Amino acid sequence: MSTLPSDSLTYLLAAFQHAHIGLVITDAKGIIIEVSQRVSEISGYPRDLLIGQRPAIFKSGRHPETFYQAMWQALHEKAYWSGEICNRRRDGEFIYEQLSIAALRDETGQVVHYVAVFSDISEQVRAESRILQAAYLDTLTGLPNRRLLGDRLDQAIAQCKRSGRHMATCFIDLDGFKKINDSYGHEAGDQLLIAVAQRLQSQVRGNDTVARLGGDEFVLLLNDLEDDSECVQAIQRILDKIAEPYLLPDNSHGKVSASIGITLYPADANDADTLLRHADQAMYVAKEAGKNCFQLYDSRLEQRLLARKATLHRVAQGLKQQQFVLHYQPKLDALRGCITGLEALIRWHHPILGHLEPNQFLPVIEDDDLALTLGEWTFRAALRQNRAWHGAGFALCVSVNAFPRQLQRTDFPELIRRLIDEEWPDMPAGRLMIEIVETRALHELDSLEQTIERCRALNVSFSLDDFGTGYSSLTYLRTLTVDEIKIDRSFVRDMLNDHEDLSIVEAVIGLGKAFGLKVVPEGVESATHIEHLLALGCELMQGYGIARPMPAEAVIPWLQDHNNTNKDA
Amino acid sequence: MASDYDLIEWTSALETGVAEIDQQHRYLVTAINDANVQLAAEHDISLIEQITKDLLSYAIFHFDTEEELMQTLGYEQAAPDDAARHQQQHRQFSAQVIAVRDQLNNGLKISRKDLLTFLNGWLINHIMHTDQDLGAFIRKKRAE
Repeated sequence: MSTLPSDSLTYLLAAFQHAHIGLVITDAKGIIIEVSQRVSEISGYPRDLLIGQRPAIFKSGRHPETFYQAMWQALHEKAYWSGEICNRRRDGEFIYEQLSIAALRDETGQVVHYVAVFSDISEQVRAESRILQAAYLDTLTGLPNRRLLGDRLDQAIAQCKRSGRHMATCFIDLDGFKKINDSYGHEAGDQLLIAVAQRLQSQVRGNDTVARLGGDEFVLLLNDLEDDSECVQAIQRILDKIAEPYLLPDNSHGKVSASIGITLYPADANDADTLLRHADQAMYVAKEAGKNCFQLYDSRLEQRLLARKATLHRVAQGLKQQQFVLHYQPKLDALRGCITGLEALIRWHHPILGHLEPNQFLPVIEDDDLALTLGEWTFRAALRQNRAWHGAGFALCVSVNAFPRQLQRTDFPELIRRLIDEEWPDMPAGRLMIEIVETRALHELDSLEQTIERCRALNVSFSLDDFGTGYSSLTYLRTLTVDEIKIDRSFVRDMLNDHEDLSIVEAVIGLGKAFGLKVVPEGVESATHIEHLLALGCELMQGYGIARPMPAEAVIPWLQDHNNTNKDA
Repeated sequence: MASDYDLIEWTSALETGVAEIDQQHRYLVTAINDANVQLAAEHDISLIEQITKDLLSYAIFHFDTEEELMQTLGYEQAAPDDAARHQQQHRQFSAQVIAVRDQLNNGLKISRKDLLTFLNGWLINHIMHTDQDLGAFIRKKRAE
């Protein structure tokens, strides 16, 4: 169909009017001589305005000049062009068209008309772009998601290779977000994430990327860095910005901070996935180092983390294979000669390494969620054991050491309630005590006190362990409602020959009296210790001089033996 | 950064010829060198805490690897004295690291010199001698 008598145009037009398809006919110079009704509907221009114009009137400016050059070239060579085009309506709105153009020639081969037919596919294109957006953008914050981040990282790496400049991949995890999410609800959590996204974007330049991976994890790509120190300055700014207070739904101010892991390209010359993994590993170390800080990746980090993971894996496996047991160390009331309670101490019966003491493996896991699992196991085992002793006629208080990580959780009291419900629903008062050790991890004493209060409602009492070794023992004592303080073994051990240690022991006993608390010196190694402590007005005590920690099955025989000895004495 | 101690260089004298053991030893050497450099730069309690934590972690996963190999290949039966000495050195390592942590927890200053003297000494003695015997045994067993 390369030529057509000109009166055929009338038929053509009539046909397209009915088919509801846009039809534009121009002369050989490209001047519009006729349009179908549909053209006016789609473009918003009345027929009169279009006649005499060039189709360039529809141009959107969205296609480069080369696009039109290719179109014309096809029309010259093949007399036909077809494709998608973005045009502009009279009111300025973009329309997407599926367009076909044919060049009509006469018998001599001269072009006499151009005939363009098109349909409006704007709806379709917009739906597609929404899908595309959903596939590449995070719906909550509108930031690039993991997929788009991958593309951007690839581009950034290519860019670095060309320019010889540096690029930083920064993995950001918020500290304290979960707490806000838990106490104020998801809605408030989402608002906070949006605010964080905005703050991050306000701190970067146009060619940088801020992406959200999900949850409270974000990634920054800082491009085109002169050197690595430029990145460190930017990150310090970002840390400060994130740590500024956030307005919460109840008009109070919430605080979160960021732990940031950074890996620098080309120092870490790897692919996108590896860069992200390295930044993530560095973030983990920043978290561990106390949060609200950043950590630069180096290859040794990976080794360290692999080693740590290997160990955690062994602990998890040991838990599954029931390699952990509790031993119990009696607490003596030396004045009355009776045992008032026992401290549960965890042991790892390692299949290869033999019996491991708590201080050999607890430090390795205390910063990991595994501490929650092992902690729960400890409470359950202690409750179950004490119930058995109760059944055998022994009324004892068992003390369990809680991990700081457990105490930090706002749902800790619910855990204790559930464990009591499951293991010993009718547990009498005074059978479970929780020992708290002062540590930097437990700095939010007000919320810890709330946790303590809620546990006390479950008939659980509290003890401050290792008293006197930390920096804020007195603050702990003042803020937390506890029943007992335990004097650290290091003071007790040397009190017989070190005057300063003796003074501390005396002072803590006095402190206990002033606060109305029981005082339990630990590390009582000899009869001399016992006599001396009794003379200082201290009745309760614990240590090798009384009994070593023993397996559960040895406890009742020991108690019976101890009682008999006392009767004889 | 100037340091009182030379960093340990990985040489063939440290190799046992058992791939998994050598890989883990390389890690220990790196960790101790790191501790050396870091502690020269700053004397920070949380840093020593982190170092001792890493060493404890190492003690669990590495000693486990070695002692499991000893068990499965029958080292104890073949060389009871060597096996006992070997295990004893492992226990001594853990005990020493714990002692350092306990000292820290009791607010005592840890001398960097003491910590590094112990670590360097242990490493050289253990890896260059005790582990060489075990390595030779494992290589022989695996060749059989």
